[in-house]
Amino acid sequence: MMSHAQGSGYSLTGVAAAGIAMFKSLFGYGTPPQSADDSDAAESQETETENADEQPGDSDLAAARSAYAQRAKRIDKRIRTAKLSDGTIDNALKLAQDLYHDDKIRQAESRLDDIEVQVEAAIAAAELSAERKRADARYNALTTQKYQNKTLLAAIAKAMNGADLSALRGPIASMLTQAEGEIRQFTDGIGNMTDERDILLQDPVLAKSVYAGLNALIDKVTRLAGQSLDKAISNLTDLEAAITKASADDAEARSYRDQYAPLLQTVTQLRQDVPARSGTHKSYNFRKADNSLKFAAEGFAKGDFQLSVIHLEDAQVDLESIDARAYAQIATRRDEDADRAAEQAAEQAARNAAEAQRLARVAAQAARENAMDVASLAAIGKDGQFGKWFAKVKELKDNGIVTLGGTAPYLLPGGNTVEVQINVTPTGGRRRTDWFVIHYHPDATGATVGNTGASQVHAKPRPGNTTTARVLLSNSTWPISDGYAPPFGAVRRLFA
Amino acid sequence: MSGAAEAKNEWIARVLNFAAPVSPTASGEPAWTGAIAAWRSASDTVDAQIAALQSVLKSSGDDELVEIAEYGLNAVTGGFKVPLLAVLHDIAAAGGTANPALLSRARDLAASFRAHLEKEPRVRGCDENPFGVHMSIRQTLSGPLAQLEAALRPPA
Repeated sequence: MMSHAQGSGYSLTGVAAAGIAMFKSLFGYGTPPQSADDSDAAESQETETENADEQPGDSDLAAARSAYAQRAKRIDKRIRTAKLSDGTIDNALKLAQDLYHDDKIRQAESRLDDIEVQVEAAIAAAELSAERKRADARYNALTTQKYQNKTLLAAIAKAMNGADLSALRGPIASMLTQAEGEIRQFTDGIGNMTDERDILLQDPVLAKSVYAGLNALIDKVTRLAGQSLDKAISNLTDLEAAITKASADDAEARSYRDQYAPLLQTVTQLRQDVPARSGTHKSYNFRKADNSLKFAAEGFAKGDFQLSVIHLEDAQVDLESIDARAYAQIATRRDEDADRAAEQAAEQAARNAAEAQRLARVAAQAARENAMDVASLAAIGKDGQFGKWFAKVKELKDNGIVTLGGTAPYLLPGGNTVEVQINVTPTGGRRRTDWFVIHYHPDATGATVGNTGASQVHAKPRPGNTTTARVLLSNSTWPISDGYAPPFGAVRRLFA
Repeated sequence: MSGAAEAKNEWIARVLNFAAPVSPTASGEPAWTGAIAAWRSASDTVDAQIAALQSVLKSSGDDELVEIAEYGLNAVTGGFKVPLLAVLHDIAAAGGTANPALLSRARDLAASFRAHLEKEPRVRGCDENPFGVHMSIRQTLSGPLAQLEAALRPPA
């Protein structure tokens, strides 16, 4: 202990002096003692052996110098490579070199030990600086990324709030909450890293490895946080896609919902009208359309507007199909009725035309027959309508259109008929234009219902037989009463 | 494992669907957590012992002992201690997701450090120093280093 130290040197007992000498020799100072206490003989022998290995003798001096030189060269190269050369280190190297030149190899080596420690410390400091710069840059990048992701999160939230998602808002909100939690945990992770960084920076003893440790920490956080961000961003990407799809789906759903009411009104009206129009067509089946209407109502109740609209459209198609078929049948029936009516009308028109023609002819004939002229007699025709012709002659005669003149009675061959011929001559004319005869049957008893030919006096268009038309006469009938022919009694007296 | 670390791992598993590749102990902590803590404690103990020896040497009035205090004692740990502390810090910071290469590097450093303690005469010289300063570098560090080697070994 310190009790052994005295004055400028070390005033020691023999044993202590030997120990100190041995101690010094271990560090390259002095020489080890040549003898040892009896009690420590064995150990001293061992120590001497060890010291003999470490204390270069003359024979080992060259080798020790060579080893020293190589080591000094290596250290110097390391100093140059690391660009650490400065006055302090250079002076230390020079001092070691001086010891070397004085053949104080152990002392020179001890100096090199110290220099090496300093060099390694300086290199460590340089590495520390580099680590620090790298760590700071990466830390700043991470914190920047943290805020960028917060911005992304806010943008997503804003997009979601801006969308009219109604019923879909719940699931979307859940996805957003999950992504938000992952990003928040990532940012919390960076916050934890910040805490650890602060602790590391406050460590005064282990400053050398502070930034190496910090970089390792950043490596870890970056790796783990990167995975977190990948997951969160993937979720956000999915979320954005979901929002876009949900917006589109929502717009589509609203579109279908808007279509539903008017379409339902249309189809309901069709359902009422089509059976009425198709009326008697009992073969039309409305079951399919009714089912579609039922499914549409169920879909609407569930909020599935697209499905409900599709069913309504199906019902509309079915009903319009029935309606079209009904219309086709009705049209066909109407066409047939129209054709039939047209045919009947044509026939009627033909009949009407024929009747009109006939009536015209009749009228013309009547006009001709009724005309107060001589030609009316020909128009009537004495052979066809002798009675009318006979009456017309009287009318013409009465109106002074014609003049009549009868012949004397004469007996026709056969001896049963006395005939008087009455000539019809236009008044003022000289030639007869027509004539008829009056037949007397002096022996006849008079006409009966069953035998008109048995009349005593009758007028005929011309001499003929029993089938020729005739007009029964009496003495008061105009040809006789007007004197154009003699009375029956007079003829009977003359020819009976 | 702290409550914050548990919450963080829970977040990672729940949110990121990522199971951290840890070799948990019965309590759910990585197997090397305890070994690192033991090593840090041992290292602090040895640092204190070296600081005490340095103090004695610097106050000895002997120029050579003063030089040894200033330049020699730091070499006792053979350039293993600081690199091992750094890599163990990285492992601890990474929790259960430490890079296997980092684990291998720490395991190699621990093994080399332990071998160095066994054969380095300056370690023994310090432990048996003639200045009456209690030193136990090899004894204090060897056990935790062996524990680290075992804990950092990949699961079979």
